[in-house]
Amino acid sequence: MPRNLLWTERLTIDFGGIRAVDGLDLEVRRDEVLAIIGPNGSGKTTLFNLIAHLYTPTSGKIHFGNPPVDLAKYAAHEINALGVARTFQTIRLFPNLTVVENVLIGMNARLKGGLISAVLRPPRTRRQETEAEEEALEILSLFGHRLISMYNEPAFTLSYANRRRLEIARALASRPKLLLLDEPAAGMNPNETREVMEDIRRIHEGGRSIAVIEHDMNLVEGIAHRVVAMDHGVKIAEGSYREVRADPEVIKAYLGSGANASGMPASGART
Amino acid sequence: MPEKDFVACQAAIEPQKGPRRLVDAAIAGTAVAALCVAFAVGLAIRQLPYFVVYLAAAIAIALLLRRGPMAGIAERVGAAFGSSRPTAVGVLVLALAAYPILFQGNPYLIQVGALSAIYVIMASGLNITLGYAGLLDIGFAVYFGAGAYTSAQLAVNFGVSFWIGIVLGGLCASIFGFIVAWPALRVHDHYLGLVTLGYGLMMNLLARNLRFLTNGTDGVINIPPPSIGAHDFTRPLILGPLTLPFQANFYYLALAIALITCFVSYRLRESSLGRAWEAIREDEIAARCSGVNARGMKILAFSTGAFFGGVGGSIFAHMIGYIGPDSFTFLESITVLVMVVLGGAGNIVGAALGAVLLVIIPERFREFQELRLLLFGVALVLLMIGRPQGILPRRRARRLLPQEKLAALSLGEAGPGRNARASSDGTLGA
Repeated sequence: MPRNLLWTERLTIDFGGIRAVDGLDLEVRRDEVLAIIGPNGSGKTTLFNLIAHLYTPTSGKIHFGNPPVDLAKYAAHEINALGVARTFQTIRLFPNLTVVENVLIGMNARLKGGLISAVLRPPRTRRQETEAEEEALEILSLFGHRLISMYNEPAFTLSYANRRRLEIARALASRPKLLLLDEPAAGMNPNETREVMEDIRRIHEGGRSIAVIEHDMNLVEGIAHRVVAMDHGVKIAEGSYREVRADPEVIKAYLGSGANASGMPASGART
Repeated sequence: MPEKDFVACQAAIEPQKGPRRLVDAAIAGTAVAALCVAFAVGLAIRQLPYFVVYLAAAIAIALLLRRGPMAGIAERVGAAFGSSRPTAVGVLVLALAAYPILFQGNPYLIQVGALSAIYVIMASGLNITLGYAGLLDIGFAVYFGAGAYTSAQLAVNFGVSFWIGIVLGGLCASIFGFIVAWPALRVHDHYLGLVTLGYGLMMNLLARNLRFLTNGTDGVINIPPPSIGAHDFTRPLILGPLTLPFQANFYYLALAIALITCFVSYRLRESSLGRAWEAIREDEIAARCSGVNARGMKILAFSTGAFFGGVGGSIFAHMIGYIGPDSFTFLESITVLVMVVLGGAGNIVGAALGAVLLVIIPERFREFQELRLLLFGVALVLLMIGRPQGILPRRRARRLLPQEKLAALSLGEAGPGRNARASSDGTLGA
């Protein structure tokens, strides 16, 4: 079995005159937590949008799975079914759907049945629905009582942190092989960030590979097996957290060329 | 926001048992019966001044129930509806079935009832496209026309029975929905509205000019009425000792199909399909990334909604006996759209209520002639300012937590246990 779960090959996308991702070769290995860091506008979210096929690459390939397939040949919903699920930097829930319904949507690719079975609701369909609800409860239980106690409430009533949790729960509902988290700790306080860290660890222990975009270096240090730093659409450094943090290119990207190593990007990173 | 008490939250969705359930059923049944009686009284009042008084009283009571001292009663009734929906629906169906018997001396009102039922079918159809999937379709009359012409021409030229014609009419309308869905996939929101609007105008012009298909502006005349065995729908309906005017045939036909439509619409909403439609409405990008085939589901929403539009058109054509391009104009599309938005998009009972009101109110105010459209417009504006979500907005069903699974997950202990764990583990990054 190949070591890599997902790898890109000279992946490039242009928006008009801007080359947002520029000949990127990046890999996500099996069973790892990969952190992708970089200043704003360095192409991190664009990379996720390319993987999820919300954008079509100008050139290059995205290989996924074993045997590998080129994700650019599949539609967004098929990529979800293949085993890549994601969250969004700006939370995108279904605000008027309840918490459990949001999670059930994540299972959509797996649920069978067309118009006829929806109307006649044979035992098979009913059983499927019950099983789906049970699985949804199990996924929600990953966050303790936080989401289960809001089971029947519309998603717009949730607190900010709970919305982020629900987005992760919805992504997990598709049983992904690879989970893409786009700034899961954005806007969270230190306690909540610690909780996110624990959640990500637990999800990883449950047997999923994770790629996470994150600005909070404590979180990156706490969870990432490997770190990739991006700037202007290219990979500027790769390796362990310590290696990447000491990389002169990374320091230059964050602080400009005059900075020294002690002034690293992070909010309160320890040296 | 503080998290709700877990135990209390569970108790709130526990099903009602025993006497409480019976009381709820009684309350819900009585409330529906009372509403039906009030509605029938409104229909029965002939003199306009009395009717205005009646209308004012109805609005006053509605407002009192919302905000005034009677709000508690409304809440109790609402809770009763939640737990005894079958009783409420049962009483409503009985009342609807009794309607032609009650007004057997007034064939006109029975005809209006039949027309209302036809519009309920169409509004339910548009409710799938617009209310569930959030696709703004301002060309709904196209499907009405497609269904009407299909079954009318089949019956007039080939002697095809209405019962086959209505199905073929619905299917033909679906094809028209399928056709517009393709260009519609590329645009959203009001741009989609413009595409469907243009589609509606275009199809109406085609109906005027493709004489070999539609007889042009002359339309199709002498469309035979449906019949069951030897019973022709233009003959009075004899039910045991009762002899009802022939309009009752059409009323019961349209009512039966309207009820089936509502049932199908309900089942669709509560299925994984309905959920996917609603997800597209809420956030299409997120839906696609969560495994929803947005393209396919949108095409399905257009075709399914159009099917019911076609069925409605088919019944209409055979009831009136005539169909022409003037029967499915832009105004017709707007009327169905207003029915859904006014009643409450996404809610089946809301859309049905919108349809009934929009058929009956203009009929009631015929005395005002030109003024009635103006008054109607004013009422609509006021309603949309005061209650933009429609008269009866969608209320989401509360799902029962899977109890066995919950027990197996051993989350039963009180309090948010996660919090404690997180802070005791606070060495990380602190």
